Amino acid sequence: MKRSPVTATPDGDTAVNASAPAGAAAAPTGAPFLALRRVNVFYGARQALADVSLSIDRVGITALVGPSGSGKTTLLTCVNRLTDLIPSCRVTGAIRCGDLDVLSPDTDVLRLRRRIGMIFQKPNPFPFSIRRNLACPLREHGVTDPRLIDARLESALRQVGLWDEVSDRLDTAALALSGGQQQRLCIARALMLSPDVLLMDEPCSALDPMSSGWVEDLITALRRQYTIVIVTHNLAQARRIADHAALFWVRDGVGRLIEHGPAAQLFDHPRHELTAAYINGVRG
Amino acid sequence: MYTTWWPPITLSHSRRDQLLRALLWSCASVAGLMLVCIVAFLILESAPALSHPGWRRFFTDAAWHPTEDAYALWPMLAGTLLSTGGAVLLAAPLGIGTAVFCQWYAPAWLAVPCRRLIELLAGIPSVVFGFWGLVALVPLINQWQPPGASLLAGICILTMMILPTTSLLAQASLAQADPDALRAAAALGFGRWGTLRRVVLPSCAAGLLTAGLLAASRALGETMAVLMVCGNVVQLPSSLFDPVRTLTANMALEIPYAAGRHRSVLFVSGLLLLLLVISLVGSATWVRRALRHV
Amino acid sequence: MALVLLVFFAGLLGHLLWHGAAGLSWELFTAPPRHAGRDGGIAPILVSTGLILGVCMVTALPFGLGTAVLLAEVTQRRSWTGEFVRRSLDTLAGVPSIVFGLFGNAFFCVTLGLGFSIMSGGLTLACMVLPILIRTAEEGLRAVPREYRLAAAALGFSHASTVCQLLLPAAVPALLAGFILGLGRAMAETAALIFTSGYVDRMPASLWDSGRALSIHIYDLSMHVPGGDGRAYASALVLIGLLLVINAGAMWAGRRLTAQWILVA
Ligand SMILES: Nc1ncnc2c1ncn2[C@@H]1O[C@H](COP(=O)(O)OP(=O)(O)O)[C@@H](O)[C@H]1O
Ligand SMILES: [Mg+2]
Repeated sequence: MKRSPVTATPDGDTAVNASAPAGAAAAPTGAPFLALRRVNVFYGARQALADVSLSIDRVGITALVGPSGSGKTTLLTCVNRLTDLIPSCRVTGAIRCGDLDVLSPDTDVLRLRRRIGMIFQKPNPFPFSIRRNLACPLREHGVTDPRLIDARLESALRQVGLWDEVSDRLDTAALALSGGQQQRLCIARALMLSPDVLLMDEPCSALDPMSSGWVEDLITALRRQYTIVIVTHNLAQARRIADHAALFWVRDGVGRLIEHGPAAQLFDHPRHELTAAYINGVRG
Repeated sequence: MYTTWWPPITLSHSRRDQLLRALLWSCASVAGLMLVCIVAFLILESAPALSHPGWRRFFTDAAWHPTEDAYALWPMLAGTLLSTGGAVLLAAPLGIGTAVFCQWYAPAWLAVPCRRLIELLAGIPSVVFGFWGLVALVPLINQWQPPGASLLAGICILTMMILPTTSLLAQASLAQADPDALRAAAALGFGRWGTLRRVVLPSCAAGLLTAGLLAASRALGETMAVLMVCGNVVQLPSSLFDPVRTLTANMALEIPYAAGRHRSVLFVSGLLLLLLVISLVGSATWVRRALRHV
Repeated sequence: MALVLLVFFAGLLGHLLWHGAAGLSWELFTAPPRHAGRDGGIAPILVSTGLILGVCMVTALPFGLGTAVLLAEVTQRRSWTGEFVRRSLDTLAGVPSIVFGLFGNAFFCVTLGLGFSIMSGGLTLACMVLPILIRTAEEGLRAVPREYRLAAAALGFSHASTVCQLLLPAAVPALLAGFILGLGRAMAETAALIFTSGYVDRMPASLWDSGRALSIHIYDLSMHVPGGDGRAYASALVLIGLLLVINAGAMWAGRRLTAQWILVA
């Protein structure tokens, strides 16, 4: 395998030393929970991400922003190794999630994915009933006690604020719910497994403003219990909810991490001109 | 640091996934090797006949008396080729005609039931076609030119049987005509017939040819219908009204009691049929590939 | 042109109905044939037909599903193994049924020693319908949205359970359509059965007994039994009727399944 010669330093203050920012908004508790070191991703011969190093704390929300095609989705899928599903995709570097070495061939991917939930841009409940949507992940991971499943199901639905809306029709089709409800159901489905990390890929962009607001409130409510990494194109939203933020940009046809730091700093005092331009809407 | 380079779809270390894969591969190898198996068995069973009378004698012997060491397969081969050829000659224009009608001329309320009808016709069992031929068509021909059970009856029944297939395949290929080309033709002031003749039919030639070849392969392998209406006399027909026996009918008639070399010769005719059909299907695929870019 | 077709079809069906309707009676479905089939009913023949079809579908389904899942979910579209299996199945679909009969006779009846039996006939038909089952099932699986697979993977589903719990249930309408197609093809088949399942028109005692399929009954009555035409007409009507019922049932079930059952199952 050829090693990418590109390192993220030509502009001096870019991404590489992204850990432990000075005035963190959420108190960092010890070592970073999710740590990416020099991650490169290739689709076939084409490089999609170059030399991304990023540390994410156990508690809080990290927002990934940047134009389309800059590799944000790709980064998320590296963390739970959904990249395995794309035959041509190759990942190099190191990713550590808690005590798990994500990219190691010896890692049990299924256990890894159980600990890392993912929410997609388009709500994707299974074509089953609401109950079965929520129960099947637990059953898959060996929980068969129906009382336990029902208890978890209720608490997950309460957590996402769906319980009052759907408790009387748990056995009807999940696909009959509205878009916003479907997305919250998907979040509940991820919560069923009590993950440590929630990866969210533009969770609000396919929803109407009302539902979008609901989901945003929900994400804020979840910030204390989960490590949340969220991709969003809505800068106002990122500013509202994020503790940390990272900007991705395409340079030379390859996605790179341009700047990373506490959200307040990145949005109010960007250190990089691209960040400033993007934040101010000059480009992007 | 790791460099990941997983196989196409990485399964977990889960036992169940490994089991699943093993299971799937064994299913697929049964399905994938079925054709190989069939060819192998036919060759195995044909081997004695190919070594003793030898393939030359199938074409030079004077008569078909398999119990008395006379193995003339050629009249049957001729019967097969004649009936198939006749049926394709009739069914191709009819099939393409119905396809053009359904796709181009028929109003929507007529085109859909027409299509359903053709699909229905395609699903009628061959034994029913044969039976109908036997009780309706053969007496009709008999009144005109006895004995009735004849090459002509076989051609008629085969035509009816492959007509739906031809028509459906031709419709599928007509439906793929490039809409841009159609718009261009309209802009040039072509009428419906002009567009059809100068633009659509030439661009669909490959599809139509494929339809014809596949229909021919279907007719070659057809057994019951021809068995029931062709009269099954082993001879080279001198006219359309003479009875003939096809390779398939011969097998159906004689396999149940054939033994030894006789049985082996019948397997040779099966092998011959299989090779003919495979080459037809193969050339259909080839035509589709080769003419796609013309 | 369409008129010609219409006339053909109307002539065929009309003729069969005209001559066969009189033979349709309760006795036809309940009584065994008498006088080589000239009188009596077709009860044992219907039973044999059912058994042959049962053997056929029960063996063909698992192999068909397994192969389809492999082709759609495991192998790459361009991998040579997948391509080989697909090619060979396409060719297999074009093989004349009488050649399947030869193979079935040589392999199941003689080599495996099953003799002329319902088992041999069913297994031969299973080989014949396999390509249809696989083709339709593979297409059905490919039509399942990719999002479901991503969602399942992200939840840590193993490949096995993604296939069994998600993809196969989601593809049920397509699987059903393929099943019906295969069943219809098997039911219409005659040539492959003449020398695998045999002619015996008694009520079969077991799967290792010879049994006469409905299509063979029609053939035998019309060709070998003078005066058997009346019952042959009736049997032909029964055969066509069964095929129509199956197809209509498939259409109905397909619509219903996609609409409701699948969503909440
Ligand atoms: N499955 C794939 N195969 C090939 N290239 C891909 C694939 N997915 C994404 N890419 C490429 O990787 C780059 C990053 O895409 P993505 O991660 O989706 O960006 P973002 O989510 O920031 O919009 C894009 O140039 C895209 O074309
Ligand atoms: Mg994206």
